Amino acid sequence: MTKCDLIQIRVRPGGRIYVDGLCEPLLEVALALCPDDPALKRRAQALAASRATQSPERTPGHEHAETSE
Amino acid sequence: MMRACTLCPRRCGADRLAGERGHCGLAAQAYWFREMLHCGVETELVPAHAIYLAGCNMECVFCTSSECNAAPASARPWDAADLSARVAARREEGARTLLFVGGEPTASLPAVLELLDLLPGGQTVAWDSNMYASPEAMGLLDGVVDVYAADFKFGNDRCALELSGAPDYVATVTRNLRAAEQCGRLIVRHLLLPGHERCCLLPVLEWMHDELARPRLSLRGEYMPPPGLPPGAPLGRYVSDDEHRRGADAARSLGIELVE
Repeated sequence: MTKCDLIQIRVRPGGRIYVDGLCEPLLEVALALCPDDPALKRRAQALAASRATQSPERTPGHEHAETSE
Repeated sequence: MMRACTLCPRRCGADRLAGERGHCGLAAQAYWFREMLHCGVETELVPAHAIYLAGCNMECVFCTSSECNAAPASARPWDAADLSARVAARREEGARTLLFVGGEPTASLPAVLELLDLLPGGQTVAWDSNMYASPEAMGLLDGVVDVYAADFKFGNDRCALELSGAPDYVATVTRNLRAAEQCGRLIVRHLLLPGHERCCLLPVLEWMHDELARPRLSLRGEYMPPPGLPPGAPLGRYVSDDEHRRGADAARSLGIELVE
């Protein structure tokens, strides 16, 4: 594993946080911390909308295989 | 094209099929260092299955993945069959876009095309690129890429050369942005750099206003000062919220749509 494998979280002076590699679990964390952030809410809505179009037999959310090595 | 590489404007001519490495550090074998369902890109791409390719043809001093770009072979070897299975799995998870990221994916374009050949089709392909590509490479992307998430980093050649070692930058990138707009949906990305408002941001905005039929901008504020800069170095600070706000206002005043 190299440094590049890792999701980078950058905390700036003043408290603004950037996540380079905002995966679904981190989006959930970010939303829990900042539930009114419009950019986060839009992304959560986009994710939910995409999930809604998935096949009905699919259980939304958590069955994905861990593909990282 | 890989026999005497012309994928980027450097036209290094490396015989990558014979094992010679180009300016990008790559021979024939491509490498990737991350793949994930990405929710942090522009909303219209979310959720994106992002595949990060190692190796780059620019040398940005503020690169956040320089380790994999300087030594692409330290990442995972590209295996199209394996990656096609990963793409299928991510589609099942809800990925609505297949996003190729770098490094610079154009440096590994043949490997990406090999992967796309294995896929059933129907997915939206997005290309997250520095746009420092040759016309030949852009031609190969025509009809393959649906959305360009395209960098326009510098508004002049001096900054491009100094900060990314990229000669003839503005002519190259503007030519490719025009081409991209003709053959796909275009989102221009501009990473705000501290102190580069007049020399980079404003010329980029003006060019977009003058030259693009439907200018759409993703204004990025996540610049991170590279470690080791001396105190007071021009790039040694973050971009302020005020600078970000001014940039967004300048874009809006030119009628440029901001994409978030």
